[in-house]
Amino acid sequence: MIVEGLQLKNFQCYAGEIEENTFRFTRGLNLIIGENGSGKSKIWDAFYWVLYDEIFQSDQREFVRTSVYKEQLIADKAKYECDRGESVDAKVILTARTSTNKVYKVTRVYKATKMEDGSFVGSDRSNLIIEEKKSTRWETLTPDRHESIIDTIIPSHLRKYMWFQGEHINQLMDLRDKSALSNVIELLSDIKTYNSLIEITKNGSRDATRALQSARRSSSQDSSKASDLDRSLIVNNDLLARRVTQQDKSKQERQTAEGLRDDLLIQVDTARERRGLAGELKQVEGEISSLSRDFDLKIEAISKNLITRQWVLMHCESSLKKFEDRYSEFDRRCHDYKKSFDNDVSPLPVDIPRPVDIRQMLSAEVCMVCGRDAKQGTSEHHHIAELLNRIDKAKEEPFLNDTQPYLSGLYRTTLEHAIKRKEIRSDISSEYEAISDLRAKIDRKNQDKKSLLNQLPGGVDQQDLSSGESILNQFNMHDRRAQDAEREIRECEEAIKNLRALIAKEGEELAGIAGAGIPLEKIVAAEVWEKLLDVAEDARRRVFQGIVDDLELRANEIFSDMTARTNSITGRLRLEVTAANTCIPKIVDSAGNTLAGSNDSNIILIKLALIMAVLTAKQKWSENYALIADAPTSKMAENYSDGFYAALSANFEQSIVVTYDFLDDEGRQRLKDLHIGEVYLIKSSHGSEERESRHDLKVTRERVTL
Amino acid sequence: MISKKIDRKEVLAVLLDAEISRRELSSNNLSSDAIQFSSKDGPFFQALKGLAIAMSEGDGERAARKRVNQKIEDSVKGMSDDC
Repeated sequence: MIVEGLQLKNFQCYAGEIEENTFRFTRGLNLIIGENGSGKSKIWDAFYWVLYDEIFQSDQREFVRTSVYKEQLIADKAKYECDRGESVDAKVILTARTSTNKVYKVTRVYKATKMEDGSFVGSDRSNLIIEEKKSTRWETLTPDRHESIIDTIIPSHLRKYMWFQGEHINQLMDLRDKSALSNVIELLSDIKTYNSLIEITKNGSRDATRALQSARRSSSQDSSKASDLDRSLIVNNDLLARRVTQQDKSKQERQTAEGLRDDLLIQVDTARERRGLAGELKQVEGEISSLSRDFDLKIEAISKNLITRQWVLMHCESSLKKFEDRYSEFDRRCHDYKKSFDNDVSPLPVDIPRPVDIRQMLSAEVCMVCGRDAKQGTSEHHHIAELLNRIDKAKEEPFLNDTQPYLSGLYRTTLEHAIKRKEIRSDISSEYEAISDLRAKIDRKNQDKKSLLNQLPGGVDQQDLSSGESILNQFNMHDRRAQDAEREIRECEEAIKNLRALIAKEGEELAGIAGAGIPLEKIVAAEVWEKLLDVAEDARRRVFQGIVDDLELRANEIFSDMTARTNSITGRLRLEVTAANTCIPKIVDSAGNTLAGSNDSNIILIKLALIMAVLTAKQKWSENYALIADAPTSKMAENYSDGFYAALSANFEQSIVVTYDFLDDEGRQRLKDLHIGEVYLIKSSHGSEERESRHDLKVTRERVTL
Repeated sequence: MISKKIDRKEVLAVLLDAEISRRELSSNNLSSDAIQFSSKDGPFFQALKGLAIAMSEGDGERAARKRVNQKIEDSVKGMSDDC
């Protein structure tokens, strides 16, 4: 099967007509290259949508159907340019050629109408048209053939291996899931037919044995003993069958538990150490958090202290000084004034003699108190006149509204503050010391924490402290499971041994009392069916092993293509078949010892090698299928991804890879020895962060020649 | 249940191959009775053939067992005739 083309019209970010968005593909490695967010993954979406009517939503990590995605399928630009009341559609056309030279064109269309309010109403489903090329014209195929044609292009059971995104690889070939590879083997083979072969022979053997026993019983001389023995045999055979099944189950359980336990084995020592350190870390973290709380409280209190502990006065020093000086001046002047006033004071009350009398004395130029003359211009007249001034002076009494007590109170407060100022200084400095002390303690504890984290095996990156505990718990749990299963297996073994002996004894007894006339074919049938069962089981084992061997060989060929360019990978892949007929992949060295500690890139390569081995099991599939992948190397180092592309080119007739590798000419030099098909470079008019609802967003493709 | 038509030759080949290699592994333990019993015309090989035909013709399980039993019976009759 060769995918010859993919054409898009107004599909997601690919606004514009089919002609503008046509991708042609040929044999070899076809590449669609683009920066992250350029819209290249939408090509993968287009492939998927046209065949399966689903879109992968990476944020929700799931496929959603057209009925959910609806008009989001249509390019914003096309929707923007569409007039109200008009319709707009998204279309994808895939053209593929089979190995028998049949060419199919698969077209899927989704249409929506723009309403008066600017919103879009689309139907819940898309329209699928499949056409087959007949010499020069296209013949439309009836819908009942759609499924089988799509299955011809991409067989449904291989779909997940042929179409994947880089982020799916891990789950696609989950090596921890012991049945993952066995499922692949079932896909690759008629192994299920051999299961039914075993089923037939098992049932046949049981029936033949019963028929023989029944014949023995009916021909027996002692019919009641024979029927007792027969009944007992039926019961014991059932018990035996049940024990065997139980033992099989326990074996499987033991294997699963041991597998899970062994997977954890390398992590156990680390986990123990982590658990110990986790305790210390917890304590240190407790101390840090308590110190930090104190520290925060102290810092928070600083602003309160400005008021409650009057720290704000630290900045009022000059004002206080000024106030003190002014007050001293005021006090001095008050004092002087009072003093001058005291000097002038007359022994007489202020209103004696009365001013009217004084004025009379002045005009009469005589003192009416002592009778002496007081002519104008004499000192006597002047003294009498002063008595009038004394009254005016009395009116000027400076202490009538005395502010002095208030100011003096203020002054005392100021003095107190002046004293306190010295205390504030020491208060602040002691607070500051306490804060620095706390900070130093926190720093020290953080250092302790850091050194503990550095001691943590697995590094500081894995700060999940509970993981150590949980690994140990899991390890112990699986170990217990394995032990329990082991005990059960031994119990079953003992029971099976006893039951077999009992059945044999009863069988012999029954044969002993059997009379003549047991049909020979019944005896032969029982023996033959039993042998058939052995052979059927053996056949299944051999077929299974054969497929595993083929797969291992194929995967190793691919794996060595992949690793030819890097020296950092040693070892080969080995697929180990277990007693329970499952298959476990391992990396082994040349001596067959399991290599532990493979890095992520290495593991991804193994998984890809297995996926590619499944797809290129040529003797099995009538078609050579293309591998269509989106960012398959997203979790790989560069030297590993080169190996992947080399293996793709060498092993697949066609592959189509959407990638952000090879963005520049220099990078594309790495492709020069490979069998390359078409290469397209995708460019977007807007960066990924500004692409939401862009009416003018345009994605263009450019054909690149290497 | 047998649900898929597969090549009779393929089944037979694998079954016979399985039996032969199994016999090789335990050849020392085979009694002369057993060897005669499972000779090419003996009931065991006849039964294998019956199974292979049933598989290739897509018979159901009951039909397959019936066919095997028939083959065993036929070959047993043949053995008695020889006697």
